[in-house]
Amino acid sequence: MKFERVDDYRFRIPIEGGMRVPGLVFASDAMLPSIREDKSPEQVANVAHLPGILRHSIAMPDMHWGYGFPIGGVAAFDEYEGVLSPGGVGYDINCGVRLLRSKLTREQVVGSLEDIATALYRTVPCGVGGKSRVRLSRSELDDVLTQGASWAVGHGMGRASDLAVLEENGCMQGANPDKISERAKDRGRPQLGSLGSGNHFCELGYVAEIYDPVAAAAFGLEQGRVTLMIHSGSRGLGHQICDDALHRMLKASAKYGIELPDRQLCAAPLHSPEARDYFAAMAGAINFAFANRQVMTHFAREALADTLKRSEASIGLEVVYDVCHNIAKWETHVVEGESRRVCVHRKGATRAFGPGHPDVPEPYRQVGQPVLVPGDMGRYSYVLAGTERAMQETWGSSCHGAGRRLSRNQAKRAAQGRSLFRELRDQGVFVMADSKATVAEELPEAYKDVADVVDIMDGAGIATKVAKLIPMAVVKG
Amino acid sequence: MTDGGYRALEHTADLAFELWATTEEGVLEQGMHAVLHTLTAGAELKPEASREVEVQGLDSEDRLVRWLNEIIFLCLVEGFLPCDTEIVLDGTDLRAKLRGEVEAHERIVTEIKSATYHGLFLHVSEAEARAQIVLDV
Repeated sequence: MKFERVDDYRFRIPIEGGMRVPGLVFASDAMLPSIREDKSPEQVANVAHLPGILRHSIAMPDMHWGYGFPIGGVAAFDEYEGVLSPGGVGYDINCGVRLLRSKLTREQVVGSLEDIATALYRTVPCGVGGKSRVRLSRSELDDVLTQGASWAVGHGMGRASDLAVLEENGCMQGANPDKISERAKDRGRPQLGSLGSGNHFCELGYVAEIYDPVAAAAFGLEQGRVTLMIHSGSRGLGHQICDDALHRMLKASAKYGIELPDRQLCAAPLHSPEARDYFAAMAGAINFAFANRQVMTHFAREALADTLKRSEASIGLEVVYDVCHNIAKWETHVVEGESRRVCVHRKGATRAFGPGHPDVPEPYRQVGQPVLVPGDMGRYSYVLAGTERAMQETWGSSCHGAGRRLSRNQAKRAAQGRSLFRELRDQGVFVMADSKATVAEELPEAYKDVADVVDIMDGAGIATKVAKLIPMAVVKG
Repeated sequence: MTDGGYRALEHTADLAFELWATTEEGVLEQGMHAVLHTLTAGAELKPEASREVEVQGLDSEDRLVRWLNEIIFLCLVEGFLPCDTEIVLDGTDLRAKLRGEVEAHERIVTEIKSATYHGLFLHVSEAEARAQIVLDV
């Protein structure tokens, strides 16, 4: 794959073969060799083949090999000539991250980290299956699918103020439970309010460094304050919706004459019945994921209050923001000087709207949308702020995490003979996990250094650094 | 039980398997074993009960993906973990009788989101059948 260097942070993949637009990869010279090691650059080129793609097929610096789209991929499609592709959203629809800030200081919890980790592990269901304490009837599940996070708040699991600072206010319009298979509902119904396994986590940390005091103040982040981060998605419901959609979209691609360089990119024209049905089902999964993170927020607040023997009000744990990583959305962007409605696919990427955008919650509108970028469980995570440059260049999008460096098997081999729990504890991180194998697969060096990733976003002016968070207690699935 | 086998391949984010057997039915069976090995970390399963499943594919490769997703659904949602199967192919359709353990959710130690079309191939010749499948975990 040919890369043309644009500047210190951007590389262009020129148009070849059936590509309709060039690729645009955000990376550094140092990072490029590792990016070339897998087939994600080919996937950037493959996405550029899709009808109606606008401007570029984009990849963020945390890019790695995905299904159809690379993880870290962003693409926008023209409303009338473009397509909707389940492969541009992924299996874990609205996998995302929520950040909460507390009134507590690091010093107030540092002696209780083991107890906190244990309490979070017991209270927030995690691991394979990960059945929740929440029991949903069929009709209640349908309500979750249409109402999202507000369903949980309405059922006593959260605060009304939470909803104001969630992407889409925690509810994507257009969801239709009738477009979701019974299989998907069967997979999701027992799982509302559960982390799942793999790279999902619930993490207590603290604000270790502030880079932008104005934005940090707007986000309510103070040096030394305790934070909580929840990373999870739409669980089995979303996986099944994606699976169901792929079957239908494969037929649709043939029906509409869409030539696919990879079957996983199967797609349908945006206004076709197939795309409308997928959008309605996907929106339901998005809402399930918003509700899922909302329920776990409630569980985590309970766990901390019980453990620290303090009231929830005195602990705080207000939501800073909640971002989606895997999503397709209708958004309005400026294309060739005109304001146009486009469908933006973000697959392992975060929305990063800049200052002044009406979709940025009012408290943050002066500084840009919070962009939450979790790293690995041993090092650090970052909070960034969206920029006007992101609006112009990346459809208001940024990176979403560190990006894997080692395969799961390589990570397990690297973990052999080591006591990862003790290693992490020696670093000041208490880890509780449902499975030792998961901790091995997720060991810190399995991931790129997220600092390198966010430095590229910051240097490119796409999202600017606001704060660094250090983990103290982590629950893994 | 057909002859053949499966082996894990390196993949950055997820799990990939190479499957081989003397027939396409054998490759499909090996795919089932690869999925069960992943889900249970190689636990030995008993053929306590049987189930029948039917899958319609758009073509042979699509049928392989759908078959494995059928297995994943049975395991994760119904807790039926198959250890043995008899597969009959008809055009791009598949019918299979499965034998395995029931209510065996607790045997599952790794979650699989789905079998994918990513890097998928299924080659069948007179001498052998060979496939590659990637599982999103």
